[in-house]
Amino acid sequence: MIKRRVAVVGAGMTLFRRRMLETGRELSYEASKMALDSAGMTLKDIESVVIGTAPDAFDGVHMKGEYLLEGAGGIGKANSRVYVGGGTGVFTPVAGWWHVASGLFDTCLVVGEEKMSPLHPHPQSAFWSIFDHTTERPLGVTLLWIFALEMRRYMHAHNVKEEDIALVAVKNKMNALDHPCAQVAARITVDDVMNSEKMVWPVKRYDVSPPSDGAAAAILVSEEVARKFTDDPVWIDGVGWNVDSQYWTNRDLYYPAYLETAAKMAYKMAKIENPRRQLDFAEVYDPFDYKELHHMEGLLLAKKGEAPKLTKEGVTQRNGDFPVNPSGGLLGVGNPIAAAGMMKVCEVYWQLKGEAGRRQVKGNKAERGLAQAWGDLMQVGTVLTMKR
Amino acid sequence: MADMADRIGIIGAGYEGFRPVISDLSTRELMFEAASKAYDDASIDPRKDVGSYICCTEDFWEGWSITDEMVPDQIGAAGRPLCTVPADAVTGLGNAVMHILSGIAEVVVLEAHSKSADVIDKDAVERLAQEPTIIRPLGASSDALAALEMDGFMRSTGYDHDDINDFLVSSKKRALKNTRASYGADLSAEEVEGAGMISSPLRRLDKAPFAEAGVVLVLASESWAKRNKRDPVFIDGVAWSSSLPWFDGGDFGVAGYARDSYLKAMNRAGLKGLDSFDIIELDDTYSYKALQHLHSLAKSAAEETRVLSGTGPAINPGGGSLGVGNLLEASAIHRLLECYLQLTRKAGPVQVKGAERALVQSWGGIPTATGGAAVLSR
Repeated sequence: MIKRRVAVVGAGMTLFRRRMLETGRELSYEASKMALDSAGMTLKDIESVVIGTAPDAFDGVHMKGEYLLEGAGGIGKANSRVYVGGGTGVFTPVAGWWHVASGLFDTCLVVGEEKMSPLHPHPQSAFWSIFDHTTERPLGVTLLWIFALEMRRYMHAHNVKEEDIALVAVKNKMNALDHPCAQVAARITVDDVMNSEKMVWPVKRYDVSPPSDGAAAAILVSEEVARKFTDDPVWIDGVGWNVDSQYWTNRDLYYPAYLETAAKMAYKMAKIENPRRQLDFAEVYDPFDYKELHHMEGLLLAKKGEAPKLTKEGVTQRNGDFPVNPSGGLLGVGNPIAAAGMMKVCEVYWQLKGEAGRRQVKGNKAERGLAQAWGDLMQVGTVLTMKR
Repeated sequence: MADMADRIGIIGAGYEGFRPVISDLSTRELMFEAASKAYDDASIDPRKDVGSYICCTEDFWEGWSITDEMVPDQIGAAGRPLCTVPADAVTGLGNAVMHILSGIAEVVVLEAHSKSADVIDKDAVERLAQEPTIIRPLGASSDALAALEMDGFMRSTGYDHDDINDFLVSSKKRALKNTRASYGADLSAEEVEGAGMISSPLRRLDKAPFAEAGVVLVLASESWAKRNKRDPVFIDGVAWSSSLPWFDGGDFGVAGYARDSYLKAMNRAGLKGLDSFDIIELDDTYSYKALQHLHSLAKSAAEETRVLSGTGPAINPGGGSLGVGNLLEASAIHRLLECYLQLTRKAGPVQVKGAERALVQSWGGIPTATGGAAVLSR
């Protein structure tokens, strides 16, 4: 039984760019300041801070949460860093939720930060060290390889064409044209995706989100505090997360069962029995275009193999029946790992507050949205639902 | 800020290792052994009874980016809610408590371990924790930063090497009786002085040597414990806090993180003063840190003197990190373990008679000014 309601009363984010001049601390500060300003609060109002940031290897800073906490307003506060790989961005506000829901704190500033650019020659090299040192690293395997395997398996299981998957990249990059922080917004076609550089078949350049620097933040508060600062808070009504076995080779990659388990945890809390009907839109994790489809099915927003069809029919367009990634997602806005997931949570907040501007879905009548992220070795699902 | 009205306790603990080098177990095997023993101690089935899992790990110590990915299989958490809280285990304990208080779990597993001997160049890893733009380019090692803080601490409080020697010698001696201690010794102050200098005024023996261990604790709500007839060690208060490190303008004498977290934990527990405790486990990663931490907790000079004289609560009865070893991310969970064993009368030769209540105080290590406090009772 959940003991206290938790509201979101402010959000902010920096530009997402391939290489930002600001340090990680400065990025954290900027996002935190924007979130506080938007809530009409100052750091004095904050009792606890949760920092989300993915591999220390990106920034080259050991104990990165400690490094970031001064920028994120953590001095003199109860400061926690939480971490579930790529799932961290959505997991950070999940942790903020339990800080407030527990009754131990009335306010929590949650900050997602990632600065991937310090790593040379390319941030991908940080991922070398996520693989098993005995069985996988000697193969010289990269993330692109294993995601190509997963994409291929998904295509095979449901007889999905590369062109069907490319529609996701086209949609999300187009949506991102309306996002002021977007890094790789573009008006492209399926042919552009198909003709883009082959990376590891079937993954092509435009199937993939870019490496990015950036930060995003939100303010979580108890119901009592929320009523002091706003008349229309947005509530977090469901959280869920799940971590499957590290041995990804031992499961059928066509379906993210761990995500279904995480989603069911959140849906149970939010009393959602039919997510497709009871949710109005979703910010689904899309580091690759096929992942949006894969995750829609894991989230039970589409039947197995149905997501490409819904995409083709325009259901997931911003003006469709069930908008998916109206922000532009990672494919359009950018992918500073932990900040990218936080960006999705910020987007759900802005949508439900009616502050999403040209990105607004359903004529500002959306009542409920979902944010989701994914990570580790294709084994983590993190889910958060919000309503107004 | 609310109090901890709903009681939560530790219903089981397991550990493995506590040696300078564990050559016969991999990291994963170490975690498995500790978890198996904890589940046995708590009489639980991790696949049925546990609602969530928290591990306290840092990527660079593990040599593994995104360390949480390799945790679930070893501790029975595959397909379950698991996360990393990269911090000392008192912060992890706080998050575990919040899992239960928020209603998302009734039973939570907390894991931390040290496989420090696998790290070829620990100094290089520690340097990577320094702020990269201004501090790291100065080229100071963590020990050099500690030495400067030790100097500032001694100057600002009046503690001298004799005071530090007294604490160090007694800690090493107590550790001789602790079966988990690798560095117990019967030393004289002259031997401490003669053991050499790391960076003045920090001597070689002022630094806790590294050791390896895996520890798992099982937490449960009081209602779960009652329903299932367990006898918990209660967590009456827990808090964690960050302050400015000395090189960013923080205080040398009073560790702000220690004082702040202690006062909040005491407030949650409804207690005042160090005399409330039978046992105090202070972070003593460096010998002077134990005295700095005590100085930060004490409400008066008289209380500080009384506790240090040995007439009050027992301080680090198992020898602390100076005797057992620096267990990196597992240092704080080791202190929690020592208190759990004391309060359940399982501490063996280092048992403090009649111990009913204990304080654990933790620190994240150089270059952090982050730490926590937990109040345990039975």
